Amino acid sequence: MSQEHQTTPRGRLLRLLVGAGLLALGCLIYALSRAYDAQHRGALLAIVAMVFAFHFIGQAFRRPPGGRVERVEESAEPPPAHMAFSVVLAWLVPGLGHWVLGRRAKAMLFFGVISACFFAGLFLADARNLNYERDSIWFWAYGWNGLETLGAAYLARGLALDHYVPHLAVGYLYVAVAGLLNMVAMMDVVAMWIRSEESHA
Amino acid sequence: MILAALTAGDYLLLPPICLAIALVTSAAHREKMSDILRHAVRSWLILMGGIVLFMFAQTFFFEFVLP
Repeated sequence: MSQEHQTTPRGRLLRLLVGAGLLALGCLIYALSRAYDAQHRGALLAIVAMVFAFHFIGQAFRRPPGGRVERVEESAEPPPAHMAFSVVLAWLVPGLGHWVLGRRAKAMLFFGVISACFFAGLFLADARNLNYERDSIWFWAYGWNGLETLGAAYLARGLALDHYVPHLAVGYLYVAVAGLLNMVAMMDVVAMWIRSEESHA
Repeated sequence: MILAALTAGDYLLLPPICLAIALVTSAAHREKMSDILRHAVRSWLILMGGIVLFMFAQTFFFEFVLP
């Protein structure tokens, strides 16, 4: 049975906290980039983080009646313990959290889009954008896409930036956006978790 | 996002990343696939329209205003 829900106060608070955290993170990254990076590459990441921050803050303050509402298949909500595990799975592989919760179509969409974005970034940067010592600031965004980032960073650990890569900056951006988009997908799993707890209460 | 990619300086790589953002953020708030796709396409078109307007404004500024 399909039922429409408005965003709960707890969900709003969570979105607000994530938005504020991302905003602070963006400011921190920008300050660090200004202080330690002569090329200000971290400024791109700071801008991306701030855009996502405003997205979450906007979600927290959106108007429920007449605006966008969240549609939930209430009968399909699994128990909370299962949901907690699914958040970890969503971090590990994009869409896996939704997959175990039975949202197969959304899972495939998240996996396809986020992975395509991630691997396109690797291709554009010739896999030279995953060196932790050189690009540690970018890992603040990469880290949200768990297994793909860990695997790719491990495989690309020996690659040096020894030739000109024309789309290097965009490659950084694609992989960073893939990580932040996976955070959005994780937040969707968390929102489902909150709704599930409320429906069980 | 647009500002970040414009700073990176490669306009042709903007549409795919904007589509990815539109799809994922749209899917995060909806359940029905038809709703997700419809909203994502609309968001993507708005983003692309914004980019085209930005490029026109930039060209106008550098060609006519600045000289």
